[in-house]
Amino acid sequence: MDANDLIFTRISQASIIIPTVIALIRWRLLNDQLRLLAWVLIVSSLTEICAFTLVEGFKVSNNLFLYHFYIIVLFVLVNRIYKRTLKELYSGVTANWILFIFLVFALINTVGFQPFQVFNSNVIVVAGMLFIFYSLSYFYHRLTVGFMEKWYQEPLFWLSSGLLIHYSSTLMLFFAVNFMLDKSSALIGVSWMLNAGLNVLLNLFYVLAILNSKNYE
Amino acid sequence: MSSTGWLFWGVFGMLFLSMSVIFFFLAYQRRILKQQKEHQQKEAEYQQQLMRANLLSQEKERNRIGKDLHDGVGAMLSTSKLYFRHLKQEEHPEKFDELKKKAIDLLDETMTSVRRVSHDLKPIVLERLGLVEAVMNMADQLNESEMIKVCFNNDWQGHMDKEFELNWFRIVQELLNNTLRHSGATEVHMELSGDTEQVRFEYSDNGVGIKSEPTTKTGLGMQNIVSRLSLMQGELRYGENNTAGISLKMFSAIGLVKRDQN
Repeated sequence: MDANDLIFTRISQASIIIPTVIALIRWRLLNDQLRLLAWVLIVSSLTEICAFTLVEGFKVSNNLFLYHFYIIVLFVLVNRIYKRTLKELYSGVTANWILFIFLVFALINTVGFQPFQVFNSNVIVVAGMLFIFYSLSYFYHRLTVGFMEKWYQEPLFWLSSGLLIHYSSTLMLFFAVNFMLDKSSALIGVSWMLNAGLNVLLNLFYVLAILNSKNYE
Repeated sequence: MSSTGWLFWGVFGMLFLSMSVIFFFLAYQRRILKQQKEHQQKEAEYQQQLMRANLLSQEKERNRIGKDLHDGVGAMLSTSKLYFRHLKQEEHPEKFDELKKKAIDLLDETMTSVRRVSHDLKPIVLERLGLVEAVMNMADQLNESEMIKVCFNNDWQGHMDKEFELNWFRIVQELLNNTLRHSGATEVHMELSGDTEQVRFEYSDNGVGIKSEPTTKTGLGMQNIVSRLSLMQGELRYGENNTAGISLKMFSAIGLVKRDQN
């Protein structure tokens, strides 16, 4: 990664602070569901800060173990958000089963396939796919159960849009980089920049979701 | 194309695809919402039309009663008053008896008129004997006139609230009235059926029929029927026999009294 790519990556990592600060300021306006989203932001911010501190401050060469914990906490929180949102579409038991199977899978993956020193790509890919599934379910649910006249005031619309755009694109990026034979430094640099851009985009959607919290029914 | 190019196209392709899903969702939702609003607007217009028809019908009925009272009862009472003015004890007994008889005859006629107006407002046979007898009575009266042959079959053994009986009675009245005034029919067939859960009424005649199903532009009478049915959460269906005359089926499940509630 060259200096420019590093700057872009650091900016994208730091951009999570903006929705987190907004969420903390508006904490009182958030309902239970949006407080779960606020926790997603807090956990993401803390993970990024820890990852940065470990590498830059303590000169630890491998901070990948953080992401093993981060993805699990992230999935639990998102699962809980959509469990409530999609309660008319799927039963709570289904959401609990998805969570249970995911946790077992993450544990088996860490113990047997991708230990703490290795990037837990398997779990991240599965989580990304489930996030896409949740987002699409949300849109389907909205079309079948309840329409929103002022969709732009709906926090869950922005969250689902953000998750769908971010995870579908990053999964594509992930597969492209992993399955391409030519792994030149230029390709890696571009993939880092694209990833950084997609992170900023997701954080922008988080901001929109939190800013519309007062309209949430 | 270089690997970097493929990477760009892949990621932007996926970005475009996911955004297309969101735009499709928004466009589809917008279309459905628009359709819903249009439907609600049509429904509101239709309800308004029914309400207007109801009010017009009430006004028409008031005018008719007013006219009956003014032209019939009022005139007869004025004449009676005139007779009473001329009644004097010193009058010749024969002349006195003649005036007295005329005055009493006129008062009898007035009472009959008042009874007729009152009967029109609330039919006594309906009040005392119920819907089936009242419809039979109507059919008998028309059959006696020999202008039209009315056949009424009753298979319904249920009981109904008085308020709803009056609604059904008015519907039958309105249908017969339409047939007599507009259809040129020589035969009418009516059938009342159903059970404790639902009442069904079928009506047909061999007249000229109507061109289309009732819309907001149909006559006041038909709108009144629809309005009364809608008050009873009922349903009106046009029969399949469109060769001649009119054929209607009406259903309602409101206002029925269960047997154990009697």
